[in-house]
Amino acid sequence: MRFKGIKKIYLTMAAVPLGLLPAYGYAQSLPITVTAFEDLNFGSFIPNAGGTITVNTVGARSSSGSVTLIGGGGIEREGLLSISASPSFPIDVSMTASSFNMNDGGNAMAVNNFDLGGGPGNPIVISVTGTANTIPVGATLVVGGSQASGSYTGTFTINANYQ
Amino acid sequence: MEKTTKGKSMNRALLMGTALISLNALAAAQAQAATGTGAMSAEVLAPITVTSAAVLHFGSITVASTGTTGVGEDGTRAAATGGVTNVVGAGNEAAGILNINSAGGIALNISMAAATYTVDDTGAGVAMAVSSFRVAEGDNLPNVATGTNVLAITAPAATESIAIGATLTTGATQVAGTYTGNYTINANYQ
Repeated sequence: MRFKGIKKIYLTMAAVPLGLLPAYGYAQSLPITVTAFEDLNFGSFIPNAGGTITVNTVGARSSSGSVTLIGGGGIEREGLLSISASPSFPIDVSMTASSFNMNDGGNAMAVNNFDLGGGPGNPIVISVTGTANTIPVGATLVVGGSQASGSYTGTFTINANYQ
Repeated sequence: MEKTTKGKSMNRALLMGTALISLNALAAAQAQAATGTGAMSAEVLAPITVTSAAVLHFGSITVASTGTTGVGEDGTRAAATGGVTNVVGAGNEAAGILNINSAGGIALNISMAAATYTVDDTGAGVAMAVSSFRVAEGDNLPNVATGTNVLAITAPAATESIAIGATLTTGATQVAGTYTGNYTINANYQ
């Protein structure tokens, strides 16, 4: 008789993972998904003796060194990522590395100083509102002095984690 | 005995509950991280180079007083004016031809760097002015820019030829001789 009370308790505890906690876990942990929907594009340029090209988070382009920027119809732009997750839960967003490469098959250029909106190299914290948030991505391209002409492409990766 | 059995059952249930909680926590943690990939691109263009393939040649003339002669972008000689007479038969008058090498597929703007240049005989003669330049796309002569206006080439191949015509203006008295000079064009990616 005196174990009946205890029995009720452990049955209740056993029910927690089967009922209450899964409900809580579901509310907090909708899978985070990251989708790229606009390329980070540094546009067209003549390298001359080399330098850098920066595209900021609103798509404005600037250069240093002897690089000559070519208008080319304004194809240069910031990258755009869409992050969907459970609304209102803070999410840490950061680059998985400080530098990534682009190449044309045989030649490479480094891209660094990635800016997710918190300044170059800094992670950011977002809370998704609605169904998804848009994250702009800016960065700096390092151009060599004898950079071979061609079309260069590459990828970068970010991490997004609930806090 | 009944009490002991119930106690073991309770412990097993508690352990099971704890394990399930732990599994639940693990499942939640796994769902809380994501990695996403974005694409990036850039176009490195070769510098534009311009080389002369044919000299802009006004041919032979006689000068009695101030006047003009000229050559069109298609190489056709213009009628002389004023005291200038075109000497027929020498046949060396020709449009200037420039070859422009670029990345190809990228639109270009081409224009004269100045409206007027001169030719002289590097001696005692008076220089003659060359002006009213006509800059035309080599394989599309109707696409022409006059003076220092910009010639836009919208879809150039890696090598494009540009044809140049112009007008030569003589002085009132012009020393006989061979007159030469240079002109300069600008070529830029649009």
